[in-house]
Amino acid sequence: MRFFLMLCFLPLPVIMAVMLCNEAKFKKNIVVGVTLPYEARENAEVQRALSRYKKGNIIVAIILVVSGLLCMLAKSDWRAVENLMVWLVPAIVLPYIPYVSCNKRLREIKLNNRWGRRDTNRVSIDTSVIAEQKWLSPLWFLAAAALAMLPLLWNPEFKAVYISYAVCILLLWLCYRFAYRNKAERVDGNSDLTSALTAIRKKNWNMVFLVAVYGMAAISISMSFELSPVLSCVLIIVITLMVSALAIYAEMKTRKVQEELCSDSGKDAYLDDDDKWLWGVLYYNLDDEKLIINSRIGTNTTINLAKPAGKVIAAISLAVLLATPFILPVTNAVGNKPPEFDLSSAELTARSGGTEYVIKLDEIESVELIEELPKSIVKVNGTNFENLLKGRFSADKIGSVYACLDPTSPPFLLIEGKDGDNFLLGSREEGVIQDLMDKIK
Amino acid sequence: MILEFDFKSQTPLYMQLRNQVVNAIASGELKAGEHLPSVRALSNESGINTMTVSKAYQLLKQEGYIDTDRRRGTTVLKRDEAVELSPETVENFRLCLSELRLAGLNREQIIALCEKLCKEEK
Repeated sequence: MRFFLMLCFLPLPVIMAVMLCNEAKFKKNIVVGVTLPYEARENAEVQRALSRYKKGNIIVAIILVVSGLLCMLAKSDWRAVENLMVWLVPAIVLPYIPYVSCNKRLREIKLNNRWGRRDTNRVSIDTSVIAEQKWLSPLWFLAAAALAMLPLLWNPEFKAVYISYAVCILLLWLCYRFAYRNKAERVDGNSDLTSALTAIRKKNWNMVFLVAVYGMAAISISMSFELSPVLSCVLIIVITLMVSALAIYAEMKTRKVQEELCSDSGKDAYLDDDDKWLWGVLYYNLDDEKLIINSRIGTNTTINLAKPAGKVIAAISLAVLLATPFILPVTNAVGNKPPEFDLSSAELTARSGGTEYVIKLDEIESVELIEELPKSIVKVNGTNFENLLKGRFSADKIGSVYACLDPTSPPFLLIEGKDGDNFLLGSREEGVIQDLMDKIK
Repeated sequence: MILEFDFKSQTPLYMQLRNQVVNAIASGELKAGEHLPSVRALSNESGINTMTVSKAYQLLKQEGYIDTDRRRGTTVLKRDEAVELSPETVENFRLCLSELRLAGLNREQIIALCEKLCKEEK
């Protein structure tokens, strides 16, 4: 579990440091969010600021990795996850401190050297290179959704899982189609350069989404084979890592091409819209009617904060980020209460948090007390924590079963219903399950 | 063709677009049959509202400079040599002349300016 947590959380500061250090290379005449002319590349002050920026990034990454490791020294896995969720906020925010600081310094240097553009109210566009590229056919996404649903043919038991993956794939199509602005990547007056940069960005955007949707289809298919929890977990991690690695590869490849193709740019006239980018990261342009904006560097997109919808999205994102540390404690307090049981003359009710199972006594086929849970018990939907299993599971020798128990507190009650519904119940309080067994019998 | 938009100008954006297309056709930069970007693409590129771009295109179409077709998109129309000037064009020209006179230019200077501008277009 700890290794899995390490794999999920700790690469984040390293990836962010690599991406942010990459911003110190000139791409499309932009470095750390500031547009500078060709002559600035060799400027001693600029070089000094960039060198300090890279060091700052590395120091922040080291601090975050070490603090992340300390978070994992908690006694229980659950506590470690809680610590890491708190750690996540500084892990996302702190790397931007060197970025913003360097951005401000470079803007000062730009101002002192009179490198900036004076007329900022004007927008000029080259109609010969306006981006009219076609989108990938929705059939590519429909095919991936169909693949995700394919296991229905041989194992329909997990249909909720396949459907949720297919829905996610269709949601990704919406992101692909509407979270990208078909805009020419203009750097200067060179139309060929603009065309090349535009085509490369779009190609990589297509690739990231295709890999993501077919990765999801692969995970959905793998679920149908009911692999052991460890194997299925490993498979999901491997596929997720592959998709993430390919997404990062596409981003870095786009940046590399932008760097190489623009290595000679900025000698004459060049595009400079720094005044629209706060700290080089946030886009704020009242004259731009569009909400979705392509980031200046790489393949990514961002939003226009001058639009009311942009402000709402930014506020929601900020709220989600700040709420991250509280998600697990609140979920734990509300949803993951210990299992409780009520037995009346007609029915047995098992509940934990918002989950409740009512078992009619006259519909019970058999009752059995077991000391050990089946070796393989895979979650179909619900909660699968080290001290709480609730929801629908697929268990070895039992098949589909509804669980409401603490796996660390045996014994457990296995109830088989007349209509084929199975229930596995367990309590943290000693004697409760034995008492239930006696009363039901 | 390079299009420039000044967001702080007194001239509305749709008129800025219309004027630049007319200038480009007159100077030969845009030739008959040549394609103009679609309303959506031009809006995406410039950040100007699609309605504004559409308004400029509708005006250009009304004035007979462009034609819009679902299949072929927006194209520059071939113009006959001896086309009759619209009363609005004559009135606009008269207004320009008045402004030049008020700016202190005499008849000879205005003609010289016209000749200079015509040469620049070539």
